[in-house]
Amino acid sequence: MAAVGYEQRRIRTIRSTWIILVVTLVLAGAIAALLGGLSNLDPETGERLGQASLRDVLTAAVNPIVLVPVSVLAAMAFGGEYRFGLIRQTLTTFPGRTKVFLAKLWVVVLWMLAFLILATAVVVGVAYLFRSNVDVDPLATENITYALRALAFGVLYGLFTFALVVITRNQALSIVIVILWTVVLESLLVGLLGDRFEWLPDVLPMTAGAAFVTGDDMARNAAVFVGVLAVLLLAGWGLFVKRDA
Amino acid sequence: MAGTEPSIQEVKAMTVQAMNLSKSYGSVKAVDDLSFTLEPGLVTGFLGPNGSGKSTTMRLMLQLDRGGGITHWDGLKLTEVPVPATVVGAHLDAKSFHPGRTARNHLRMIAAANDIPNSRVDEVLELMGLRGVANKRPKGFSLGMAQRLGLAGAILAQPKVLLLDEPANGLDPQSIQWLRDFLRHYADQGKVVFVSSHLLNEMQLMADHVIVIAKGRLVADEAMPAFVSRSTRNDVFIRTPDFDALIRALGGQGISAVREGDDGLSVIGVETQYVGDLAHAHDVRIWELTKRTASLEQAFLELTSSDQEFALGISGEEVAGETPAAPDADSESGDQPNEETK
Repeated sequence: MAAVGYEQRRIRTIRSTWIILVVTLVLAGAIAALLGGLSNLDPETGERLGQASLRDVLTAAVNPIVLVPVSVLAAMAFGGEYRFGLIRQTLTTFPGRTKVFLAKLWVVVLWMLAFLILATAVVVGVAYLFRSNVDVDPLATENITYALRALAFGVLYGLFTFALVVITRNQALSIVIVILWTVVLESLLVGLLGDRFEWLPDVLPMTAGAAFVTGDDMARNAAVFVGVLAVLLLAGWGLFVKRDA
Repeated sequence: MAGTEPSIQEVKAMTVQAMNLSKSYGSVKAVDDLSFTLEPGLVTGFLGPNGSGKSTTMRLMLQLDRGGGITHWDGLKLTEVPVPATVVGAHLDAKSFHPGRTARNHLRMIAAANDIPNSRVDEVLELMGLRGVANKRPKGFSLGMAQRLGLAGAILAQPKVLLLDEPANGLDPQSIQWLRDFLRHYADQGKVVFVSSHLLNEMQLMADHVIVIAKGRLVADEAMPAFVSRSTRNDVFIRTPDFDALIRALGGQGISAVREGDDGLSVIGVETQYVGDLAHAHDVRIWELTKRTASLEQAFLELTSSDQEFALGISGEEVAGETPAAPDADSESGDQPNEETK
């Protein structure tokens, strides 16, 4: 518990945390406004074709643009410590490295979850502003289950960055890797090799994660997404325990 | 836990035993089977040339670096100590803090980990002269202020052992004097203070005991006066117009001398009174008779300036080899050759 208290204090007492929160909420709100305002418009005439579903707008909360700042929050758990030499202070205070790793993991999950819940609330609020265009029914089972899947995806997505920072000990590099992985790498692989290897999209973690959020073959996609993440986290934990601080 | 610094009676003395510490980077041995014990109540200086493995040794002691050997803190590994911060406080890097977190919050973060009340944080800020900048972000701190903040973090839980790597770097003379007094006071409470520094003159004033390493190996582990007295620079300087007569008189006692300038002689291993009496007995006029004492810096440089000197320095034989045999002088007068240099 002491390690968790230390970690809570660490994350709370830097300005970056709160800047990230504001940026996350602003981006989620802005994307929700775009989706709420522009959904279901005829691209030719600009006429409204009908009401959009709340689920369509909720995708704003897990848009890659929103997940970047959330990933930065996750990256800071270890990245800041290595960057500013605090890791030695931390490990002198808590020589048990597994305890430190788990405390950071736990606290980062809680904070990412809190940020994403707030982002989801902002998205629902923005959708309400566009209620003439969006069918706002946040208590509908479909919307709730979607939001829960989106929250799970968002948190686990952040943990990809968390794990990569432990492995690389480089915050900026890890954030860039995850962005490129999500936006470029998997699309490129599917585009280049998808015809030849039909199974390829099924084993790509970010593709699987996105499919999980939409509710496609949830068990398999969740297994792929979580499986790759688990491998990265285990590798990160192993290196953290083994390497010099 | 927090509050005033504990009195001597309240502190249970702790011994730190570093055993067979070793660390290699590829084929290079940074620390090579290094063992020593740190005693309570002493300020122990940790010396070595650049790259000799001092910082690595400290990190190995704290299990921050992975290597061979182990350090026992009153018989326990650091990972076995329930609240490590109450056992050892370390300050290894001058600027080991987040530049965007205020000094007070930095210390409160450490306090939160160790169940230390915030009042202790304010107390330490006051002690370190940082109260005025407590709510400032340390990105603009000078090196000296950064050192103070690091030291504040190290002593926050009032640990029984302080491990400080170059804490005097960047401090102004007043701050260095303050640091010296502070570490002396800390050790006087029956605690262990282990401090590395390149400021050898300062270390000579600060440390009671000295551990010297070179190329990762132990070359000296002894009390500061004993270490300094091993230097060949501890000698007696004589100026005399009767140069040859004095050389003969000394030679007759088996004492060799080294000429310095036109009328000077340097003699190792004897006291001024002995030389004076000997000169008087042989009707040799003396113009100057001075005992010259080596500094820690001189002793350190002799020991570590080359592998040859370093190898000889382990046994002290090089000094004995150059030191004349002790004459049968008045043993009660204290005039006999210095036993330390034999």
